[in-house]
Amino acid sequence: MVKNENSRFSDYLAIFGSLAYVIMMVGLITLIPLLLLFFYPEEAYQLPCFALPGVLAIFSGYLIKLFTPRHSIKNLERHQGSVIVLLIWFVSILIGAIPFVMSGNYTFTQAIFETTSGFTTTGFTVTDVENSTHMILLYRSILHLFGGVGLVLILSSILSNVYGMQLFSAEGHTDRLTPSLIHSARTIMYIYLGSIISGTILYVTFHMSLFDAINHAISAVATGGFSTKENSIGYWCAERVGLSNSIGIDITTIILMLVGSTNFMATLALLRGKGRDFITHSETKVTIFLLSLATPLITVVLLTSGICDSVLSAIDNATFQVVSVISTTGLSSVDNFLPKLGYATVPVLLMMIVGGHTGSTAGGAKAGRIALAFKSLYYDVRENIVPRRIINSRSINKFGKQMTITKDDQSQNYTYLLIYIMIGFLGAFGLTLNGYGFRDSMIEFFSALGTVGMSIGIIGPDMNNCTMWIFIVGMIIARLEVYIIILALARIGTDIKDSISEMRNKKK
Amino acid sequence: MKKSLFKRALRNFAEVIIIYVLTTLLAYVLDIYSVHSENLLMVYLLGILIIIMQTKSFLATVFSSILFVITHDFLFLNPRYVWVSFSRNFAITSAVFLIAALIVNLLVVRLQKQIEISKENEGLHKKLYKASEGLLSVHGRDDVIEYADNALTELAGAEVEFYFDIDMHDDNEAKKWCYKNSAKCGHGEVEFSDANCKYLPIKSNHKTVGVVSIDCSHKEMSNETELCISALLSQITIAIERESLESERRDELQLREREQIKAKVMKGISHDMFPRVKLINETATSIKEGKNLMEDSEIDEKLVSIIDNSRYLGEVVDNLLDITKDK
Repeated sequence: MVKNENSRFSDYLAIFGSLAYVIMMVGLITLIPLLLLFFYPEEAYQLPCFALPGVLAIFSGYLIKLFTPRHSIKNLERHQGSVIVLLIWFVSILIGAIPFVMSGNYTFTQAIFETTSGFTTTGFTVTDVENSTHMILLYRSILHLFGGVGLVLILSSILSNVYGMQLFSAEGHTDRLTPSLIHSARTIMYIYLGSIISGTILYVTFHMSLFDAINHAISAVATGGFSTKENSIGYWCAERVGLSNSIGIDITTIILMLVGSTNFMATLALLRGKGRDFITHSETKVTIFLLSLATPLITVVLLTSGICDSVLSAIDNATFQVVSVISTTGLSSVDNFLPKLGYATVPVLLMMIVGGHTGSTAGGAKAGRIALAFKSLYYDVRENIVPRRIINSRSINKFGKQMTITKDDQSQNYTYLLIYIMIGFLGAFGLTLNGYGFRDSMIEFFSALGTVGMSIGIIGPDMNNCTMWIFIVGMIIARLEVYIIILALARIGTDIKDSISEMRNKKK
Repeated sequence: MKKSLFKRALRNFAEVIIIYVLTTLLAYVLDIYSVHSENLLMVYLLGILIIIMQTKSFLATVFSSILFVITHDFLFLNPRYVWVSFSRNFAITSAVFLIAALIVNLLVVRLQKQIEISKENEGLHKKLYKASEGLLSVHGRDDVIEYADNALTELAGAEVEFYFDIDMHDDNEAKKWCYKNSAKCGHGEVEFSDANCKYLPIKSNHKTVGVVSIDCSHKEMSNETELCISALLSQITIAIERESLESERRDELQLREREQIKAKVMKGISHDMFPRVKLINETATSIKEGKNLMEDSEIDEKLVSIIDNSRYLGEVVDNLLDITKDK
């Protein structure tokens, strides 16, 4: 349906009005670190960095809500949901970057980079964590907290919105835990927050400070990767906290990362005692397969390269690193993990591409798509081998149920994976144009595209702006999944084209 | 009722505190950037305006006005962080703040009320329009009355009853009075004000054709609603009249058709009868005048012709008589 100019304009006005709540929410996010002033009053000089943008964002959002017309979009038109989701993320990143800029330690591009890395739960950082204030460090983790679960999901759980479900799906949440949208959103929030609280308690038990515990629990469950220490989790080594505590911290982190990267529906199934459904789920099988393949390999690499001096330490660190990559978290127990891998960077790169489960906080192409791709390949090959008179049904296990695979599903899946790989190569090419080697560019950009956040050495405070913007675009594409961006841009393009042709007709 | 008031008060209090904290935070930050205290007062004024918009509460307005002025004086006026004793400036600032806040509060509350009234009227007019539109497409007196019943019930938000052909021996005095005097009475009116229902006359061509009663025992009827009901009643009356006229027109048409059919039949019959009568007459005349000259067989033949034709005529007359009997 071709809409007239006036209704199209008022739809965009309504879209703009709906951003009011987003702006207020981001304002609130920006104010949270101020709570630390009760514990670290010496950091009061940074109060304006958070208070000013936070309060102004809340007031601005309130005024926008007040002044935009009450007209609301009763039902989203084709791809309008994607436009809204894209705008939500853009606005959030812009406002979220202000505290970094105001702190005086970041340029505008660096601030956008850090905020994008936080919201998209990538974990790349240009922050000198050892010399940063607690407020900045907590703020980064808070970006992970909200970005991990999804900004739209948080909005949906707060507001009972007419078009909530369309936005919910548009942000990439394809499964509903319960029939009610609000209930689904809140269930996800409870699982998420419950994991963080449990993780914090365990970390403190293993002699991590409360501040570090909160930050790392958020980072692990959100599969973000920001750490309060330069050496990441490796800071809490056996020499510092004792072997048992060090292993305890590693195991806690591994569990939290796995929880964060597992489909929330699968987690709910496990919590409800449906272990069989959880184990037979296709994505779980992919994760278990990759873990069992990669962990021994990395263990050998760590031992042979002299990074770890004992088998136990090698197994511990190997398991940690493999889980960190496959969950796309990016936390590290080994200093400079990627550069030391050598030939083993190839399986690591493949794990970065696979990523975590759909409907989780993790990135990557998603284990579900990989499972579907391989299953489709298997069925295609089988069809060519077995006699034609035999009818083969195509199905894949989803939470204990066999779901039929249609030709459409297969084709869309292959298309997505192709686009994903193409974007990866394109980004890597962009990095090579900035003077980086092809291998390093591939690993670094796929790390961004998979929101892993593990760096081979390109990421750092001395990156040029062009490189940073390449990574920023890559991280946004990764978090929103490429289709949303394509559909949103297509929609905006169509609306602009229709508006221009209408204006021309009016002139005639 | 008490619970909802308490909840409302709690919500207002929470809103005041949140806005107070945010406003103070903003003022504090602006103060760090050396913004003058007069401008910081404007920030607090903005905060009060937002409180008024959100709470629309007189109490919240007064409370926040006083709180904001005290906070501003404590935090941003020299000597800072000291409770100063009552001063002329403080009194003037407080008074001006309070008056400004109360004026805005009054305006906002009135505006809000106007918006509510406007919304209600919009709803009423929408119902009226829908009902009027429906009346155009309904046919048949009984269907019109049934539709009108439903439409009025929806418009009034109360039980409605139509009365036509009022019996003067009815017990309901209010109904009879309304019908006889062609004026409204009942609940909220001068006549029969203690009645549960309001009675409105249904007028057509300066003649009252009936009465409609609206139950006002559960809900008072606003002026706007009554106006809309009167407007709808006129339309209902027009619709009923339209249906009556339509019915009359149809009857007339039927009658005319019947007459036309009768005339056709008579014409057909006379066309059929006349030649036979003429034949009988001529045959009888020829027998009378020429019976001495005719053969017996010829006379018999003519007599048979006369008998046949007269038998036929007899049958036609019998049929005509039967038709008139059926009528």
